Amino acid sequence: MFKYSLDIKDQVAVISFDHQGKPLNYFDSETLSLLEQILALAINTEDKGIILTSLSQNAFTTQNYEVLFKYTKEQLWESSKALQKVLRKLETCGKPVVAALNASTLGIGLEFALAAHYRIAYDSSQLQIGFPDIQLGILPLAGGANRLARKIGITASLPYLLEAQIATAVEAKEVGIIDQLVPDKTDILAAAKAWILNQPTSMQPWDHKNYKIPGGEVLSPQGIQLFSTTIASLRSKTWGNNEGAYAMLRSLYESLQMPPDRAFDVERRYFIYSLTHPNTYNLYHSLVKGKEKLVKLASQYCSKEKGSIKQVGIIGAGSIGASLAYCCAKAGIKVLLQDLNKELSEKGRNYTHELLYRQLIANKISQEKYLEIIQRIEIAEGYKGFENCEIVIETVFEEVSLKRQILKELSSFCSPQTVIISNTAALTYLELQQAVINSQSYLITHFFSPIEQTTLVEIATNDQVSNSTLARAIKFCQAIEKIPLVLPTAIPFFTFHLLLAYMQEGACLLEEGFPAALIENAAHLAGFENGPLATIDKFGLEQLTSILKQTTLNQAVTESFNSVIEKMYSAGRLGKKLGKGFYDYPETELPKLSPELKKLFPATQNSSAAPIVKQRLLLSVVIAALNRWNNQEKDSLWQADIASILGAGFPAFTGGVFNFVSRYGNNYFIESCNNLQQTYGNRFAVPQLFNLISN
Amino acid sequence: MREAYIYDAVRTPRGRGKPDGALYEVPPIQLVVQLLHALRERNNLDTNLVEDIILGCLTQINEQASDIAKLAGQTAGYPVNVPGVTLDRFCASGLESVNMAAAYVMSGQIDLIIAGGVESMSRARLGANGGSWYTEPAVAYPGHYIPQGVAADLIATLYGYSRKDVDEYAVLSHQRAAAAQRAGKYNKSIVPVKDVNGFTILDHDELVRPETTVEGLAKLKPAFEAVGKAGFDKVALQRYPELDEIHHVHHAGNSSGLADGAALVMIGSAQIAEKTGLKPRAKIRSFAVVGSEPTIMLTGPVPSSRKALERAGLSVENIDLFEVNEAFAAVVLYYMQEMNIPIEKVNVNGGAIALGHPIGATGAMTLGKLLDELEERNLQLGLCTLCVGGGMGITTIIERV
Repeated sequence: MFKYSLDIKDQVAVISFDHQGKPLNYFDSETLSLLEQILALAINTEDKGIILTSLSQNAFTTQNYEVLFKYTKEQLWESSKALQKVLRKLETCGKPVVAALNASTLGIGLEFALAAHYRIAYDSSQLQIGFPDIQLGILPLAGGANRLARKIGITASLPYLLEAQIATAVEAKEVGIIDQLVPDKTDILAAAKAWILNQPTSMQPWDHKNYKIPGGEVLSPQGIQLFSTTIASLRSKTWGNNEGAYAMLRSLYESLQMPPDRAFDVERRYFIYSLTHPNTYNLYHSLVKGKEKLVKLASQYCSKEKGSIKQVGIIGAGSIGASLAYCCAKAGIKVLLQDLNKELSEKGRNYTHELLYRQLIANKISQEKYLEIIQRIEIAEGYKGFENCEIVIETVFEEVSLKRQILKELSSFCSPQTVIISNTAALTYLELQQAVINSQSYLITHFFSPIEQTTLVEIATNDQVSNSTLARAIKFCQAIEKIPLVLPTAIPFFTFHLLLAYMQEGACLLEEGFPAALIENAAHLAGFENGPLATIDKFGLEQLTSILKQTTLNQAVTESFNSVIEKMYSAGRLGKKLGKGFYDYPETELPKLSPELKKLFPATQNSSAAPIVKQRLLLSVVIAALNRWNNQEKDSLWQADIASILGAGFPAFTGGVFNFVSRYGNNYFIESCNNLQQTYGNRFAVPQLFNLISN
Repeated sequence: MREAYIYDAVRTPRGRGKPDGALYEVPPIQLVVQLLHALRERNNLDTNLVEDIILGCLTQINEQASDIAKLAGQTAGYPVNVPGVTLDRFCASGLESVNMAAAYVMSGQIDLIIAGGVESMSRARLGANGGSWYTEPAVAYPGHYIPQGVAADLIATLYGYSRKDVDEYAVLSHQRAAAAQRAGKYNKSIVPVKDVNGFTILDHDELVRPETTVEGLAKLKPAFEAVGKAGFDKVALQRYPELDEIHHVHHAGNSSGLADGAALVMIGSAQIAEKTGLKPRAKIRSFAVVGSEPTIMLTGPVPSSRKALERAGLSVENIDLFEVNEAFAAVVLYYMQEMNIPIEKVNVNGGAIALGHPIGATGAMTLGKLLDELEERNLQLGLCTLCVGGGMGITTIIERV
């Protein structure tokens, strides 16, 4: 865990962190006492100073939070106090302490580094520095937030503390988190030693008598202005749904007005508050645990699959095709891109051009990299070259006959080994599968647009599909850094059902006289990423109605939904692609709800209706999930949870659709459903699967 | 319950509340001291009868701190047995003092009391005393705090007041104030502020601009758009989700101006008239203060007025004249719309858009202004109301006797 060694020649103590690949529990009493002993050893000998360094790649990274969720608040208070004392002792021991950062320094690792008097890292974009767990609502626990803000100023610290921004070593040096950069990893220890032998300060700035926070104290005019605007921008960005960031801001405001020792106590109070907040566990459950399990599951499918994907053919250069081409090229995969004509194909390739160009201007990639990536995308004429692709994906319009025709052509042109994929949100599997010659090597994906901004992809298969086909498809998804969710055969297109229920509820609300703004705002207030009307715009009415018409889903939609769609059709407002839907999409400005909606859908409800709108939107999705997830294994529910968040934009802090029900309690759920059913009809009836999850 | 009578009301002229304003050179306590002298002289007052001085003051720091009311009495040469208390109910502070004073008299605990307010915005910068209201996350975040200007724009957006509507109202305020100034209507209450030699520093309200036009105002940029875009608009939308955006219509020209000034109202029981021979000018019929939704903040005058009317057993139609503080044009437009009252009865001599709004003093100033005009027109009932920061409203109804 930790080792103490003494550089006899220079009389410098080295404390090495080594966790052998596992995140450590710093609250464990054994760990704590070992830390205390080593520190005592380093302080009590005749050493001139102390170097903190890491012997393994992730030694300076995260605390094991999994175990912490089992602690009581009292236990957390005691253990965090002990750890806080260790760090405080380190910075007040009278000897210079230097953190030699030879690996990424995140979370608890950064807390140690900040308790040192000086930080040296090596010049690398690979070396990451920050507090990533703030994303989950887990705050620094041993004075880390305080030390960061006191070192670099409150303003500069906020992106790291409220938004979990991660800095590279160079960025960290620029803002002052890191004090010195050396060219190479191997130079760090020597530099650290040299710093100590130079008889540096062994006192933290904040322990000096006349210390002032750089850039202004909390209650200085600058501080007052800063907190006032930060409170507003935090609420504005998070719709009041980020408990962790809110707790962090409270902690900073209250603790930074005090001397360090009292301040660190306050920081720990908020750490405990945030760690034990239900949202934190929900986020951990879905975004950490759920993701981990999903990644592991995917790997099991393709553990035997050897070889990597080198070339992919993409038919259809629309939004999905273009976005997919970008992801492939970025991941080092050659792309053959094809659409009806060269112009359309070029337009698809241009998407990559534009994205890369923006990165080039922002200095995120080099000129060489830019060219290298863009050159991987080749415009194909006909199917020429597709015979050399390991995978061919068609992303054409959601129309069965069109897709079947292309699949037919493809499967006669490509070799039997080529995996052929259709990308669709919901078209019927069998109808498509019957068009290919070799159904063993055919399956369906559902990528979410824009692919580069999403993490999930749904994969639908059936028993005709060979294991190696599935394995190769998964390999491909992994190569472009997507997490595949292989859906049980009986429930393909899980997320589309959720999205459809969501869009439908939004449209119903509009038809019933709820103002469009109220519907969209209530969705954001409930924690959804996109409003239901924005979601319809994103699909586009043409895609959406095409899917509905060609599937049995048409029977499930309500009259109000159809009426809204009809009105929008006749108003020529077909969606984002055409620049106008429920929103107007001006080229240079942010989208705005169209003023025309007020005429098309006269509003009769006001803001007091927000709670019911929120409830209807949330429950419509939960009920759709319960109705759809007819898989009887209780063990699989977590997959639905993560799919609902990553694929359907369900609020992450709820932990997903099913976790939402358990969080609010069965009675609340049944009662709410019953009430809604009475007023709005049977689509709010308690689904049968509820009995399974409620036990 | 006893009646509380208004025996007199005086005020300083309102100076521009900036370093180029005439009253910038006058410490706030001097504004009050000169008014205390004026009350003594105008009424030949035996100051031994004064049982308390209550002053409203928002920015209680530096020279406005340490209970300026007590220090003013002492400095004005009132007897040592006259105490003083300073209170803060934001913009309502001046009227709150009057209401509290009236309550003391009504309850029989005091017979004669001086109430009012003071604010030197040129010397004590607005906001200089801080406050958890907008700075402390645990207060401002759940409270959905937005600055008052954005709140005024929110009212305009919710109730559909256009830029033209609010600008037209602002022009009317200037025209009415200028006309009143020309007719000498303010002179009854104004006590010119003098220097140590007796030279007059300011004898009239400094901010009135008779030349103001709608076309001229149209050139001003909305003052709260930038701060709104920085996040506060979205905070407002989270409280009023039926809106898709906030229309920013307010600017310096249709909002109340920063001002320096003080005002005092002398309130007493019927016995005071017997004892001193002073003649009461009006009585306080009722008063009310209410909390209201804190994000929109400025809609409180409607519920506080309804409450005060009910308490007095009066209806809106009974009121002859209204004074609705012109914190922002939309506040007055909203009040007239909700209470269904004609513009001819409201702020007939202009308001804070033209005259300025020395926060702690305005309520007492406006009450005096209302009384003067009731006397001028020989009318009976007047209602004075102010919107209040943080989401409150205050109303006082007076009747001439």
